Amino acid sequence: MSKPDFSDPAIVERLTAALEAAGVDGIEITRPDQSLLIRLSGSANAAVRQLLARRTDAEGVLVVVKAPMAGVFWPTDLSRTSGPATSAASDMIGLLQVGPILLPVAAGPSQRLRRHLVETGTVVGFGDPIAEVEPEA
Amino acid sequence: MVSQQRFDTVLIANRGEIALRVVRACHEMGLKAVVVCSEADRDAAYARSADQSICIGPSTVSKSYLNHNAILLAARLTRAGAVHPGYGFLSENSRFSAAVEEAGLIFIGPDAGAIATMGDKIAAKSAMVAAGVPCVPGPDTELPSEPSAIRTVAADIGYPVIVKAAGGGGGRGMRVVLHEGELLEAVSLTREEARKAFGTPALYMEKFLQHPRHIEIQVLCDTHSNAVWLGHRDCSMQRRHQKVVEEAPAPGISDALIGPVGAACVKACKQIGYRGVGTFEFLYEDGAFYFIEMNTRLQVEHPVTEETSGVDIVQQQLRVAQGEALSMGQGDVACTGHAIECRINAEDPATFMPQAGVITALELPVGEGVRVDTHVEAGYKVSPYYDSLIAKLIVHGHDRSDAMRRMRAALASFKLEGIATNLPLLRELFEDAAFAEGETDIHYLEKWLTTQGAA
Repeated sequence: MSKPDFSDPAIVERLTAALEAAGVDGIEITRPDQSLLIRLSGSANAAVRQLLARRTDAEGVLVVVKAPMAGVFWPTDLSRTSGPATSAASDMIGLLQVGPILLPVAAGPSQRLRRHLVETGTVVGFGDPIAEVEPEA
Repeated sequence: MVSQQRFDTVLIANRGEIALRVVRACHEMGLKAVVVCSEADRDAAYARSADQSICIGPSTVSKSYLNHNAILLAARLTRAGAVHPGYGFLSENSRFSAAVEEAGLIFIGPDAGAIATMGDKIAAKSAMVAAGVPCVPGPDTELPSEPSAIRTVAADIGYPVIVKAAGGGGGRGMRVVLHEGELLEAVSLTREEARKAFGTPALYMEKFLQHPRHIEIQVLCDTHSNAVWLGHRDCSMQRRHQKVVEEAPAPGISDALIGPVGAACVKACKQIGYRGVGTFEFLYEDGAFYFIEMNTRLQVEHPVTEETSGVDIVQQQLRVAQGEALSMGQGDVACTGHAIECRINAEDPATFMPQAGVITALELPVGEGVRVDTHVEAGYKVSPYYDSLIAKLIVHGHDRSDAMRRMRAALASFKLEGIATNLPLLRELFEDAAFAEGETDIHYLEKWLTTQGAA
């Protein structure tokens, strides 16, 4: 039996639907090459649903944070920190502007921002990659 | 050239071939096109034909293509000035039409009131009766609840009758009653189905026609009280109320016979202040037309009318939405030749089960009078989430036999590999003598399939 690809949106969606149907707040699946975190809105410490697809490269484990819905993305300002922002200091990697509302987008538990993938003020769609995060040292 | 444009960017709240069709019309008119897509359609090549595409949600339609808020948000983010709903999805949703206009955008279609009126089959029939459009025998009022009154209505119409949900359509929410003994149970069952499926238990009753054909009249209306009809179509080749082949004009129906019906449709549109395109659907039996419903949107089969009338119906929708007056009067409408459309579906030709998978090879037919409207290409992944329609093959000939000949050749040269389609079935159907003769009724295809060993 082949292993599922957790970067496949269809698999993410099926899992999300199953979680919603079961009334579960989220799920984290980890294996050597990939991991997936789905957290549904309304659960503790999560303003919106997060889609995180993780991949491994020469520099370690990276997690791609995807936009939880369409909006205008406003990243956190990295220039105000001495290095990459950490989730300990700020769990937020940016804000998603949806009409008059600003939704915080979080790095995820024990994750820190590595880099943003979109420019300030970019219109992003649901599931568009917006940042890479990595485990806190 | 469009003058004093009310919008320069159109958001297309749909997917697949119709999204691509609207993109084409927008670009031909110098308008920008934005397509929304779901996660499943994110990588589809057709989305790249638009000036911008934006993913609005997961593959499930309720969270993407039927999500009012996500679509309106996408329109705001992309600075679209108008929303084209295509067909299906939200195209006949009066609440969506109203929400679009409340958001300060233009809904490319009729206003919410017209959609609601035509969505309520009793109200629609009443409006048609008032305009002199011929209707199926039966009262244009809701069926009463008292058993004796129900029996009286049925007896006055004469058996067989058909009980229909006022909020139904597309073949759903209806039941045929052959004699009085099964009447009350049929009404009770249909009422409960209607309440659950359409949110209203309201029913109405009509004469059940036994061997009708399905004939349509295409109308086009602006906001300056102008309206025309663009000829007629025959969509009788159906399986389980789903159209398989459509053609224009309807064979064997004279201009003298259908002319007054078309004029009555135009009159009805003017009376209700209808705007945009619409289709009046009729049953036709023994030389008489009976109105069944009006579709307040672009139809899948609009290309056959475009081919015969020479009118680009999607461009006309956009022009009407810009506030332009129709550039043609009824006297300018001249339909020539004969056009046929085949719906190419990703489905098993024997079981009709939808097929998902990757199209590994695709060669589309070409030639004079051949048109293919499709969003697929080699390498395209047919998703299990949506309708199985992957292409529309349209031919236009000098007359019906010429069009049939062109269609046979086009079907023969249509090569699609990787997934099963209904192409083999269509090739066989176009060899059928009775179909080639024309004027078959709406039950013909299902009977033909039974004789072929499939149903």
